[in-house]
Amino acid sequence: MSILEFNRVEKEYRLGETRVRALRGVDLSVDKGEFIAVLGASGSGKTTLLNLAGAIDDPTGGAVLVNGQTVANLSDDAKAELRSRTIGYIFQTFNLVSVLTALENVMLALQIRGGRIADIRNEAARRLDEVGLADFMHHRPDKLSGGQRQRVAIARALVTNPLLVLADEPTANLDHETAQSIIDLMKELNEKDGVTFLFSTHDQRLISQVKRVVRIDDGKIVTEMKTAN
Amino acid sequence: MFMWLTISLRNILKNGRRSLMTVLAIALGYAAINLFQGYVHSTYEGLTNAAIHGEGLGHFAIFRKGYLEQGKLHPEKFQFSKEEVDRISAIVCAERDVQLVTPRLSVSGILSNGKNSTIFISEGLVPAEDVEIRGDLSKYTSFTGSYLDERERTGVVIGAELAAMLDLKVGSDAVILSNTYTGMANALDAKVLGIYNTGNTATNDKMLLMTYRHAQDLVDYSGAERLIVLLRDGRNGKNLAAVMERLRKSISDAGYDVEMKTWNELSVFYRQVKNLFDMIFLFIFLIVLVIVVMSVVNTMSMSVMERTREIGTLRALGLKRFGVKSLFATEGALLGILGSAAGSIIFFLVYAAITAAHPTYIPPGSSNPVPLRVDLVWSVLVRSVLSMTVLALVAAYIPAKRSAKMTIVDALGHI
Ligand SMILES: Nc1ncnc2c1ncn2[C@@H]1O[C@H](COP(=O)(O)OP(=O)(O)O)[C@@H](O)[C@H]1O
Ligand SMILES: [Mg+2]
Repeated sequence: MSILEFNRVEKEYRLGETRVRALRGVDLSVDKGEFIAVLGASGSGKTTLLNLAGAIDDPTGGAVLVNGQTVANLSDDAKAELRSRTIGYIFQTFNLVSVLTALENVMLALQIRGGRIADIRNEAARRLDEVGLADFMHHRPDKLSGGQRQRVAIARALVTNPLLVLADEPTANLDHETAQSIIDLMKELNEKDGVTFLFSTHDQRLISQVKRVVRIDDGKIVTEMKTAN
Repeated sequence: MFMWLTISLRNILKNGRRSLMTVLAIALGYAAINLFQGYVHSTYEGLTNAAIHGEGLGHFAIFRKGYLEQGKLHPEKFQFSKEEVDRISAIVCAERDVQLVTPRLSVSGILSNGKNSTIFISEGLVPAEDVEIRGDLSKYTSFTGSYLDERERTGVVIGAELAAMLDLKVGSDAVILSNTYTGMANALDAKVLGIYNTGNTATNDKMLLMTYRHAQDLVDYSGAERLIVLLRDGRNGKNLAAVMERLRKSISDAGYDVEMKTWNELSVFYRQVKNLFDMIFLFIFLIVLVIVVMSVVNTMSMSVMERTREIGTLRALGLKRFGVKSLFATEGALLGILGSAAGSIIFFLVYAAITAAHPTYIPPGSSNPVPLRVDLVWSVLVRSVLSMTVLALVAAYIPAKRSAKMTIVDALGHI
């Protein structure tokens, strides 16, 4: 069974009189363990697509199903619950809480769900270690480089053991080398732990290793490539 | 929860100057309210004492039913006869919380030195029993001469102003004139035993104290207007109502129709001062309320605005709307607690200064300077911390609620 499914999804934004059709009939199905890149130019609808996949926003047409549930049918709190338990989200701008240390930022994702503080701390520390930041746990975001911040964000997204990790242009604010290392890290986590990733990018160079690439243009999926390897 | 506290506290520290202004506003409000409360408390204690003992009202008074409405016009119909005074006094004395019951007879008339005369108001009282209620007036600094004495049947004690108006000295002879209850003019000798400052400009030029029997002679009546009851030490407060209830029953069982008034119902002065203080307190409280709410709303609105993206992020991570509100409400409550803490420091500094300096002032309606005191009332201090915290929390809730309403996409801001 697919863990994410888009059925003829439409999304229209209203800005006063003008209407922007950000997604026009998108069909997509993501299986457990996949590693998928959404490739498209700026304004093509990548963020919109990932927001809908992450139960952050609702479609104006069609249906988005996460883990078999139609997101639009859920209450506000149920959506929050869904985000907290089944989805990890990585932002282009990292979006760490500036007054918290790396460790506390990662712990936060677990604390939203609740649990024993000692367990939460251990799990968060383990995840930071996994992304190579064992020595930076007590640093605040402003004392970390862009690449390090995004690693914290990845640890934060993964710490809840989500079914699906969404990353919206996670490398757009990083230099190419760092960007590549972030993609490599995500790939490694996908291969090692079977974490399902759906990430977006506008950078062709980053997708050479990616098995499945969804190309989006002006709110429509134009091609889907699946390489065997 | 711990994480919300961490986030709140660090954000407060991060915006140091802004937070400081808010904390200071809360602190000043907290200190103002508590200093005033402490002052009022010290004043009430003095006022209570002044009413029960100083004014000689005792803890409560017993009247014949109807006296308070019509008694002044028909004193003989609505007062107690000699026999009633004795019987009711015996019933009251049997109650174990009662220390003393004593009769009073109010009279008024004209005091004359032979050439000039002026009006007086008077209480006929039993000297030995009155000393038990009021303490020994002759020990007061403003008292000259000696107090009433049962053996000096014509002796009177008068207010200092009254004495000055008629040029009466201790030892002077005078005449008191009044009507008897049957309407006959009556004049009796009076000998000035003592002169004192009543402590109140309204009575200092009229007050005349005489013995119960002297007053009875003046109006030619053998009974009393009312019975004053003094309870044993520390039996004011809750006991008062219980004692009155028991007595109401036993007196009524004995076949007498009476009504009772407590000292604070009888003391016009106490009620006026209390009403005035209550008004001032309300006024101060409203000002503090407005300042605290406005500064917290202002600070938290800025905080919410600056952290819109953070709110979006937290909600994308699965935080519910309620969680967002809690986060900011926590920050508001924390401002309230910090403000109260700083306010406590201000309060104790001022308290220490007042305690050390012993300032005095002359309150309106009083003829003596009284010390300006602030009492330390822990229950009020603690309650103010709670109310300041709740107030700040509620104030923070207003902008927090607005922010929680935003859609996540809007909060994250699209790029
Ligand atoms: N919140 C929004 N309100 C109005 N229009 C939006 C909003 N978000 C995106 N859009 C518009 O929808 C289209 C797709 O945007 P987006 O999904 O952000 O694309 P991408 O992430 O690929 O740059 C763009 O034309 C954009 O201007
Ligand atoms: Mg985008």
